[in-house]
Amino acid sequence: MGILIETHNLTKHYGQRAALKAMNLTVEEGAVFGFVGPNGAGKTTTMRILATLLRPTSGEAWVAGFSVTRQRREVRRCIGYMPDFFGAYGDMKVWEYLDFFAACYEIPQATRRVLVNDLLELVELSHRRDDYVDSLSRGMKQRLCLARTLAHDPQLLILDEPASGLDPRARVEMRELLRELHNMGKTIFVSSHILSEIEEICTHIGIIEAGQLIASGTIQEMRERIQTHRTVQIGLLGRAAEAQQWLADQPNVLAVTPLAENHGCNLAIEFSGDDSAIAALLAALVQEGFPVIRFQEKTGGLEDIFMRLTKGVVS
Amino acid sequence: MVKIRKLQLRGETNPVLLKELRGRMRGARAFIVLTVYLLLLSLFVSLIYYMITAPMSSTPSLSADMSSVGQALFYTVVLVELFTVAFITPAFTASAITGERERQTYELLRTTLVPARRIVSGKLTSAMTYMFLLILAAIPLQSLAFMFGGVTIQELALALIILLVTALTFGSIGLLFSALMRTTLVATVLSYAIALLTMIGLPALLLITPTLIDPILYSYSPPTPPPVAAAAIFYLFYFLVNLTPLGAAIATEIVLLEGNSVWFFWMDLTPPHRIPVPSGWLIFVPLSLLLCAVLFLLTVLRVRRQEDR
Repeated sequence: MGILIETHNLTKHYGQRAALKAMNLTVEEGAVFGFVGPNGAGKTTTMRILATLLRPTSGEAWVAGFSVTRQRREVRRCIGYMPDFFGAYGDMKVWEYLDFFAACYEIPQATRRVLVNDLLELVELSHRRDDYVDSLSRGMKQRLCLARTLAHDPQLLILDEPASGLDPRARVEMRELLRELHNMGKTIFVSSHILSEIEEICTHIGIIEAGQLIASGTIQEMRERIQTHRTVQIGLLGRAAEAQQWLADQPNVLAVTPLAENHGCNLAIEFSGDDSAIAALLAALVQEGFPVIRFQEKTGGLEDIFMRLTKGVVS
Repeated sequence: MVKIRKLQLRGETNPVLLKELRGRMRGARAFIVLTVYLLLLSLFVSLIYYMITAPMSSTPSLSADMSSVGQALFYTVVLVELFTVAFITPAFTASAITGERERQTYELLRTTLVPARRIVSGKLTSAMTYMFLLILAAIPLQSLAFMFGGVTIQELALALIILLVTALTFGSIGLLFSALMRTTLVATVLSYAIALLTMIGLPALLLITPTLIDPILYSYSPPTPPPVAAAAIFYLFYFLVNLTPLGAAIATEIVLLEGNSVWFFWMDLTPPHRIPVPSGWLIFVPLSLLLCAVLFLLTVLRVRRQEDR
């Protein structure tokens, strides 16, 4: 897998304010890279620079090996950019909107009709083909905007807050669409502050705060980086107090906490051992005759990682 | 393969132009504007006709000179068209780029493969196409003059050229402001300021200039100025007059009437000195086209530039 996005000391100042501070970022080909950070952290600035729209103050960025400042046309050929707002020509019909952008991406007229129909089918808007863009719901407009980014079959999709402002159903539809695009081999660079929305589809995340990339890697790597111990939740039919005492004496168990649910029969333990140590603990628990009905490691979500790594600072 | 693709694309219409034309001509708006424009123009022509012919009906000796009716009608139509072109064209182009910004489509367009020059040429051509439609639609009204005489086909052709070049110039000015400014309101105000200055301010200034220059010219002793100085001052004044569409139209007509030529005539300065005076359009058209080229280039450079914020 090659590297599709690379930035080197990317810096952007708006007057005196530094929006990006020497950011070094890499995104591998085929990844779904979640670009996470609070509002004002520099996500949109980074994306606009990568989309060749904004000139960096210093540093350099490359997309598919092309410089975003010196080889803009080549970069534009490789990317599909979706901003965090929906730009619409109100007096255009849905098919005209896609046909116009396909023409802008130099798709010959002879193939555009089939392409437009395929794109509409992909985003499930075929039934609204001849309606005016303005008459679509927000979720439909977002899907149409996504279809627009696919007109020239780009390698990389740069999606700025694609789920922003969508109702729960539309968010699920958008997520499924992104999953499908990933399966089609697209590399997706997606920003969001609704972490749970992209957690399920991301293979990698980068956390940005106050213009600095404070952490980046696969989700597993990020979890390992911030978690010094594991949390295991145990459900029992009874004998919770006894089990709590027994568990506290076991090796690698750092702490045992009773949980409020299930009438106090659920316990959470902080555990420092590896996978085989966890298996041994479960076996011993059962051997001791405790009525175990659930034994599950609780993995920290993207939200946990984000909260632990960020301080809530904006640039 | 690349060559074949390029050839295929060469045959394709500029997508920006196609989109703009679709938007402009869709619905009843374009046809309503055209109808109202022609109705107003017809009203002006009718008024002028009745103003001129009313005295003729009471004084039979005047009725022989119908050619003056033809000329008056022709001048009226061209004058109204000149002002219409100068004040409608910026309204079309001043919103061309700022409108994209305001609709939040500018960034979408800029990330596509359409080069800046195609965006600018598409916007300009679309506005010009509609303006040309308005100008061409008024030709039958201009041609009414032929029924009365006093107007030649050359006059009609030159008026058409001056109108088209005026439309292109004001369209290019509006487009540049549209690319430079953030909002349509500011771009429109600036475009209209230039239109007012060119159509009213500068001609008014030039109208009062002779009263300022004459005392200087005739302060020489002997009382007539040296021919070279007189010619230089005349040429400078004439050049400034022909920078404005109105001045160029009038100067072109004067050369046509005085010298019976579309190119130039010999003007008596201080006998026996004579100087050649080129027709107004020969100055106005090339200079305006040059200005349009510069404005087009500046607009393209602005659109091509990456944003700083």
